[in-house]
Amino acid sequence: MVDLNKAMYDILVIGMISSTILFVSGLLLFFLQNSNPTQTTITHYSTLGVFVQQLLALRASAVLMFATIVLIGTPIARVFLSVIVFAINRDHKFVAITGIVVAILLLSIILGYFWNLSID
Amino acid sequence: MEVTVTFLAICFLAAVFAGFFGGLFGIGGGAIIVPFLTVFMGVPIHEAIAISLVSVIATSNAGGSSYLEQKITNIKLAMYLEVATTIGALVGSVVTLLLRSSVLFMIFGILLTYVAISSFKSRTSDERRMVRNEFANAKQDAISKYLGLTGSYFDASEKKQVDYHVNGASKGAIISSFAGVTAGLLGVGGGVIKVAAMNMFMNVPLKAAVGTSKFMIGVTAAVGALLFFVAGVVDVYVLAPIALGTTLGATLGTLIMNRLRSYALKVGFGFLVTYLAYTMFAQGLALAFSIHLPMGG
Repeated sequence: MVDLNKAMYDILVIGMISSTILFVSGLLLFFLQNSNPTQTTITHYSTLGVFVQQLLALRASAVLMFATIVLIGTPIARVFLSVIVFAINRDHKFVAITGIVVAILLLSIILGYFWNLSID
Repeated sequence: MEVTVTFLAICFLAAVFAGFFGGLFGIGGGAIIVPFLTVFMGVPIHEAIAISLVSVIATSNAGGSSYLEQKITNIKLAMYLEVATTIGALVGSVVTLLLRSSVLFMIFGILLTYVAISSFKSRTSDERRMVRNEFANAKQDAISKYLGLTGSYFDASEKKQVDYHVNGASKGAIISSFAGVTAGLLGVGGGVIKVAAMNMFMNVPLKAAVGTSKFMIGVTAAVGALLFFVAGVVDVYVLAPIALGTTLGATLGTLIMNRLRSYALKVGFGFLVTYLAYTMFAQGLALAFSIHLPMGG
């Protein structure tokens, strides 16, 4: 039996600590890279490749963007992890219940993607 | 947005405040963050809702993990209700297209007024039910029994272990789906309705409801946050200090919640919901009749 409480705690703490470190680093990098007060705009990356390049170059906005991805990814990761833990513990009722939540999350990502295309 | 140290510091401090109350009452704090960003910082409403939704995830990571450590969270109950809230969040986006938003604001205003009145009226009921052992002796409905939805936590102000049997599973799920709708639609109010649904209709002690809601809101918010993030309306320079502040605030709030009396929490919760109900009516009136109440947006 895997301790569900412990597994959920661990993944939330990992998400919290890593996103906090990334947000703080991103802000520090911003002040290192811009000496005067700077007007910022919402950053858009045309491709994933550009984003990764900017991230590796430690551009402040890319680091902050990565922090946001880690943050939003944490609760989604914990839903996926709970399916695995319930499966290992042979709690079939809750594998089904959590599976439904995973399906709805995926559906909303797909809907969001098409909605995004339709407003472009 | 002009990013300066002062700007970051003001956002951070406001977020600590929002995160603290969010931790205490099991809510996201969007009700504080959205008006703060729009009224005081001049952030456009859609960007404010997007930032608020992402910051709700930050408070849920911080507050949720703290309540897991304190063993207050009922994970199975959370998973069960998450089916309802995520469906609600999804339905919410469809409903927005069909209903006028002024009607929605009014509906939620009425719902929240009811929650506020019940919170004040039932302020001593948690303590009374603990003394009479009603939480542990409740008869379960078929769904709660089938899923084995029971729970137990140590109440630090009463200094005793509180056991409870969940009931009213279908009623709770229907009301929680409304929580999903509000979260997806208005960026606020998800946690308030979850806490009320569990405590008022499902025989869950207030503190267990707060801990469980705090754990759940991250997933509900993730549905909307993901959509906004993909659509590219999240300004990471405003988000960064807000996310850091709510993380700190939620941690502080969750550390003291269990030491407070349920009575005090209920009264505080009642005031918070009264304020929320007011903002809903104010926004509804502004949209429908162009009547502008203070802070109504």
